[in-house]
Amino acid sequence: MKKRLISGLGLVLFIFTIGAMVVIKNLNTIVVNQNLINEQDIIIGKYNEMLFQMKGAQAELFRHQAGYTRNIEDLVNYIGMFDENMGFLSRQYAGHIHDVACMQCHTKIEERLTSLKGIFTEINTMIKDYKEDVSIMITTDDENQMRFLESAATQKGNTISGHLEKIRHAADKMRGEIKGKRNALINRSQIVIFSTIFLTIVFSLIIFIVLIRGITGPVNSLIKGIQRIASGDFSQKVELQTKDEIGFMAETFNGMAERLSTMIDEKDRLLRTLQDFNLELEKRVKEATDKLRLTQENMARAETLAAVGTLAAGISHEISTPLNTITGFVQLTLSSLDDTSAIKGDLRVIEQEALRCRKIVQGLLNFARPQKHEEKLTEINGIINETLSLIEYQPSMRKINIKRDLNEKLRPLDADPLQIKQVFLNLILNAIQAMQDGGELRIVTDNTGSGIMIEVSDTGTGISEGDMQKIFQPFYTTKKDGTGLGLSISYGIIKEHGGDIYARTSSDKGTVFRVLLPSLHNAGDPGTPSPDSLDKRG
Amino acid sequence: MPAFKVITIAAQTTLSLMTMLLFSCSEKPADIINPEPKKIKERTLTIAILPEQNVFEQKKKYKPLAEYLSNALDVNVKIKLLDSYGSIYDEIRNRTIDGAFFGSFNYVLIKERADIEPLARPVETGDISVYKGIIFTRKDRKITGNVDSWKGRKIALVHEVTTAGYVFPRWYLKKYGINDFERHFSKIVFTGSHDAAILSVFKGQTDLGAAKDLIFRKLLSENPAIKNEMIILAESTAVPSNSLCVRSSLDRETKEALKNTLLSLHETKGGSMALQALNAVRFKETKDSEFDTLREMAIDLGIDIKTYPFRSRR
Repeated sequence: MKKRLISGLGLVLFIFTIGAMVVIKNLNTIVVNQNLINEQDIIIGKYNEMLFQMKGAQAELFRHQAGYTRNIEDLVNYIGMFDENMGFLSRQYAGHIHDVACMQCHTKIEERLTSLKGIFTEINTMIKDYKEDVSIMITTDDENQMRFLESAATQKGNTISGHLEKIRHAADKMRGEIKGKRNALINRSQIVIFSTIFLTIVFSLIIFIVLIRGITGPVNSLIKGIQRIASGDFSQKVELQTKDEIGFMAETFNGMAERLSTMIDEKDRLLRTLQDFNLELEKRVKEATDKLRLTQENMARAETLAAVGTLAAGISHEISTPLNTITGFVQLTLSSLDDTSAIKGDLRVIEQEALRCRKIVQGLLNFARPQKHEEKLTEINGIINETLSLIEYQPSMRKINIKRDLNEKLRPLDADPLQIKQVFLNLILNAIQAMQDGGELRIVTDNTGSGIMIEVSDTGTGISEGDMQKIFQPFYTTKKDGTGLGLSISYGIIKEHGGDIYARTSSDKGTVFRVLLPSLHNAGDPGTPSPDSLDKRG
Repeated sequence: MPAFKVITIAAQTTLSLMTMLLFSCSEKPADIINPEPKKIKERTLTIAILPEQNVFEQKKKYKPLAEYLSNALDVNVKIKLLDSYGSIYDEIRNRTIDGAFFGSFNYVLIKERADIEPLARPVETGDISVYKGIIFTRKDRKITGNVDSWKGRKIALVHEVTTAGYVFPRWYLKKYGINDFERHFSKIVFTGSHDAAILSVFKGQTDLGAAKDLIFRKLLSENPAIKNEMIILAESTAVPSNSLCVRSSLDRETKEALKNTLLSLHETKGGSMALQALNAVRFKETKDSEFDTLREMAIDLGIDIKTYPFRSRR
């Protein structure tokens, strides 16, 4: 902008200066011409004076010769003044004879002045002779000489007067020429002055308008851009093509807006990252909390199981002997009774209940003292099919549709097939029992990252929330004839294989048990695959 | 266009135009001289000048002196040109002049009849304050210094009251035994001025001439053509140059001031310029006794200076 202002001001000054110079030049020329006219007026005045002086001298001479006066002062003074004027004019013309300035306008000035110089020389010669003649004539006593000189002086005086009139006419003509040129120059100067003023004003206005536009346009664009950016629209840029201060300001402002936009983007990104991080943190905290809770539960369960196992082992050992005694004596009594004996039926009930008690005790012993764990390469799909073949002909299976979704490329794993079969049998039987009115039993197997996954789901009535907390606890059962040890034993078997078991239930969709087992062919631990939405229980 | 370039072009154009302005038609015509108006003075001192040479030259010659004296004495010193040697007596007698640069014979004559006092006279280069009367002719006239060869010739004299232009030639002829001066020549022409007499001879209007040597030499130095043609035949003894004499009735202070100013003229710049116009280097005092030689010459010629007539022009 500064450059524009300087340029504009420079241009206006330039135009004004040129105009002023032209005007000054013309004025100077007019003044010079006017001075020349004044000079010419004076010169013409001098010629008039000289003519007067010459004629005055002639008259004085005549008066003296005629005896009218003895005074020759006036005569001498006339000629003296004539001489002075002559000297003045000679100097005046000599001053212009090589005047370059004069020659610019008057091409024949030198020729004229040279011609004039010739006339002046002639007049000077004549005036010298005239003075000599007059002087002698005044003082001489010789009548003839006096007459001769009188005639000669008169003739010379007349000739001089003639010359003077001639050059006065020439001077008058020259004055007329200069006057004409001066007038023409004045007219031309007026046109130049008006044109210059007009052009200066027009150019000044144009430059003023251009400058104002040049200033207000970019400033308005800048203000609009600032307003847009102030309203939060960082995508907008101040579009200015100017290379001046405002352009620089706009460019700087755009840079600032761009940096601000980048900073805001970065802030948003960091905020999002922070939010994600928070979410992740919350998730991880939740997971950690769940895990901790699960671990605590497991620990509590393990402790409970250990305590129950120890208790059961003691009790079982103490109860087994009386039970065996009861069973032996009942069987012995029965064998000694007739089939018609009235108490035989009651004894049989005692025998059955005692056997059931022994079974329970046996179960407790099995729980407290795990069976021998013998692992071998096992095909889980095969165990599932074997388990299903054991139960599929039971009457309760008639209303149930079995759906197998088994991965044929399921990884084999090192496991105890009898224990695994027991687990599946427990799970399938539980599922069947949950679907008294029929439904679908679905069994899914698949590989996971570090092992395999088996899901056993039913479309039964589901498990209540309160029961879900306790399903893996020993002796907890909702069935009339259940021991409450099936899921507890299953949980223990799966844990012994390094796996995990989860359950998910809903009253309208049924229950899903998911078993995760590590594959022996995989390096490292089987890990703890996410059960997704399955609740981990145990 | 960049701002710098615009400004550079503007500056260059401006300089060019200024140069044009400076060197075109800027010379003004020669100034017209307007002389200062002269101071009007209360008193006037009129000093007459004899027409011993061209009256215009005389005026030019004495004008600077008059101007200097006007300023120095604070009086209006006026130079009055006389048309004849004879008219000076009337002017003195009528008190129309206060003083004059008298010719020596003029002084001698008037001193006898009017109360005048000599004050001073110019001294030319070479300490010349006297002049001689000379008789001259053209070389081609074949006239010698022998006065007999002059007989029947036309002679140009100046005036009857001039030493060089009348008294000396008469005295000279008388010295060589010719008493009838007028009849010795076929014609005597009184030219009225010394240079007119010289020119008369040079132009062949007369055969002989008598004039002041100072004017003769000056005229010859200014005109080489005359110098080559003229020859001097006789010379008189020296008499004082034209001296400024004033009326005795003039007040003493003025006389003293005038005399002192003249005698110290060479000491001032303006005075020196006035002296230069007179072709002089200073003024010296003139005493009446310096004219005694001339008085004796008049006695020799039988001229009664108390009754000798002043012949005015016509």
